[in-house]
Amino acid sequence: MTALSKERLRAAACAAAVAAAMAVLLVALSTLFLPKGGQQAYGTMSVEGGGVLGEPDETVDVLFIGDSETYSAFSPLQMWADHGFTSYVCATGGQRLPYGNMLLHRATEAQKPKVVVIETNTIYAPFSAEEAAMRAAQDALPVIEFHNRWKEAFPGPKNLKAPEAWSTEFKGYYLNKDVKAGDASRHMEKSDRVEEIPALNRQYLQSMVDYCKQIGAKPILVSTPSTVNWNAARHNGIQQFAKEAGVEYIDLNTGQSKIDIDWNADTRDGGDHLNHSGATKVSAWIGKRLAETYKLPDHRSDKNYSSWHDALALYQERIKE
Amino acid sequence: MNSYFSLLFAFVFLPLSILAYGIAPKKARWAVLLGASYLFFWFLSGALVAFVAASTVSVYLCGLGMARMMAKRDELVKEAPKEKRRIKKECKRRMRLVLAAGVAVNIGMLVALKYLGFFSGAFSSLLALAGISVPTIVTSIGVPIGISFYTLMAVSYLVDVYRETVQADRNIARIALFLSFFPQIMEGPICRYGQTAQSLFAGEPLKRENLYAGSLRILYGVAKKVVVADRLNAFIKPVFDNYASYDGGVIALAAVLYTFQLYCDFSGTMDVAIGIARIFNVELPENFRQPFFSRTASEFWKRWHITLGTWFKDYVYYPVSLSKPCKALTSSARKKLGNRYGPLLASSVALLAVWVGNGLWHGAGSQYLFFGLYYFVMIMAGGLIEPVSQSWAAKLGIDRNCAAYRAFQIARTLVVIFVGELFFRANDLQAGLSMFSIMVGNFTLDSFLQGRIFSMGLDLPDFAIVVVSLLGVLAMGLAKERGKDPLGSICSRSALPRWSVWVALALFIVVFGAYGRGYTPVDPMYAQF
Repeated sequence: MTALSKERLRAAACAAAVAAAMAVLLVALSTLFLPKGGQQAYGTMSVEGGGVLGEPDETVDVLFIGDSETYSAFSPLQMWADHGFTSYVCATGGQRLPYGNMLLHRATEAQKPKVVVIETNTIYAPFSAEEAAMRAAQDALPVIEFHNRWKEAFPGPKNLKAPEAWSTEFKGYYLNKDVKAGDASRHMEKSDRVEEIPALNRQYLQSMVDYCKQIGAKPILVSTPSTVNWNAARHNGIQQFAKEAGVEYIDLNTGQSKIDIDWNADTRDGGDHLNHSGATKVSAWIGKRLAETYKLPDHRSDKNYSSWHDALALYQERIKE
Repeated sequence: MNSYFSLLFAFVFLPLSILAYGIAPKKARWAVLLGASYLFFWFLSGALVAFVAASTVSVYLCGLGMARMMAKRDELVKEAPKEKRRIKKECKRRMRLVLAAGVAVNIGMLVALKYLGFFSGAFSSLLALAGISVPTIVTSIGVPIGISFYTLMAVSYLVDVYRETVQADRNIARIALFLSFFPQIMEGPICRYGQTAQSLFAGEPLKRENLYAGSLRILYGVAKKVVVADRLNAFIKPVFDNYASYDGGVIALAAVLYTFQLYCDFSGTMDVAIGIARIFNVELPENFRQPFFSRTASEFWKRWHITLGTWFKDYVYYPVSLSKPCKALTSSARKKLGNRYGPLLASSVALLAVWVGNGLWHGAGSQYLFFGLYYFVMIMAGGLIEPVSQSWAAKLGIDRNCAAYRAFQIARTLVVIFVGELFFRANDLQAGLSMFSIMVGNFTLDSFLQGRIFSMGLDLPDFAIVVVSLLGVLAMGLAKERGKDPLGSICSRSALPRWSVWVALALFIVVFGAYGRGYTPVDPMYAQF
């Protein structure tokens, strides 16, 4: 072996050792920084969307994935009251598909949902390859996502070890009774235009659909009512995808599944998001449809689900306030 | 990809560039660097890359033009040595025209893209005073990344060719690479042709020691930027945007923290630029030399953004002060005001040109002009007060070289710097004046004493990590002031300690960096200038 090749070999060994040391330390730090405590194995990266990780194993029948349109439109506790199946809204404001995909995977580590509803507004939300890569890196090495938890150890290492008990009161639903009328005069005007789903978004969506099928859950695409975010071109785009992927698509803005939204009373911000009144209509419709079509179980008399009755009582109290 | 701090740059673009450079044959390595540079420019500014190409072509042609004139001049001088003086004079006159054309093209592009709105607005406002209404011209083309930096480099090349301190390059690719080299395109340093052009083109092979030293320097820069500068933004931005809601103590703290933020952001980006260049075996000039140890405002500018300061010294200060009118003013002022204050008055003309230029270079805004004039006044005042200060110190028996006096000078200079940066960061001049007025007129420590300071974007752990990090930067600075090179000495250690430091620094950034949820990414601050 020549001196040069020996030198190169040493350099390669050194680089490999440094890379291995980095990897080991990052994994160790990831373990340390990951929020601890039973079901919350992956912690609260967002309370509203990640609360599903606090639900007991295999107790959630339906998952809703999406952005603020989702948590403003679907009320799991109303569906529980009406039909007795359990659901959780894994939605976060401005959610991009990589994040929704991550929530879907993490939620289904402990849950075996029968149906996964993907709200379609998130499908068009733009994100870059860089953001997707960052998400993947965070999933692989959670210290990247939870690095700021070093503050919880300040000034002494106490909280890093403490379990984080948390849950959302209304199973991910955002209760808001504000009213700000919207203009629906041009909402869902007929158009043959098809708004293409961006390539990267489509790739993520397809992988989420495939994953749902793989774990035995029925994926459904649902467009919630919104005069600001939804239109015929997007409807056409999603319909085209649904047809190609063999997935059910329900658009609550148009056609037979159109919900009678009063845009003077059922929106909190001029037609962008629904308020509680609008969510009640959507939840009533979608709850009936899911319960009947997918034969979802009624757990209301099952003692193991008694906490849902408690949550419902609180929910009803809040609605009256 | 929008900067050196984006993931795509750090984990894809840079490694691929290094790999391509490493496997390319020696003769093609410059092409790899040039391709990477133009690709990087394209990522950041899209089609505006045409402007840097236009600058390159203009500089190349003007350089060649001047070279031909010089060659002709030399021939003519050979043929008619007695006519040497006339021939040289005539050649100089012609070269001056070419130089003026080249400078006009490059400065013209800079003004058209960056300053037209500002100057046109100022002109309209002026005419409005006389009751004449003229609409403001607004360009919608956009501003190419780094135009303020590469334009100064282009001008320096032309002037150096004119001065015959460098030879005009007949290889346009070398000029293109000199102007667009990707580690320096965003924020400099503002290099001279003689400093980097040859090494950029040499295609030296990658070396292990350079890979280590360069990457360590990059990590140090990223730590300054991501741990300190980006974190401080959460406190600074709200205060500067809504200053009327804060008391004088908070505004003073914001001014101090902004100064450190700007330093960590800019010097951190410079560390990254110098580190990347080092990997390619290219030595970029240093842009900072422990500026907060300065004893005067003038010294501060010899330690802060050094390449800009030296550019203005070489291409504005000297030409203006050595011009015929300025020389005449000097001798006239010397007769009337004496040998001390006479030249000072005359040099103030050149200094004024420097500081107006320096202020405006930073941006098309009244606050930047004010910032330049502020330093002009401070430096002039320093020059005027110095003899008085010397005489008082002698009378009072104060040793001006003792540690206490030096500390006093540094503290005094820091106050000057903090106030200057307050105006520099303010959203406009009016806001700067209002903030200064609140800082002085409504100074109170209530926000600190009542703990409200920890609910203004940064909490106690945030402040703690900023202080710890700044102490680390200070320790590095102190060591450098004493002639040591902490990063260099790490590089010379054996593999285990060397790589341990590298890994520790990388993990420090991962854990304590201000990125992800709860933080807004901040683009390198000087890239906007």
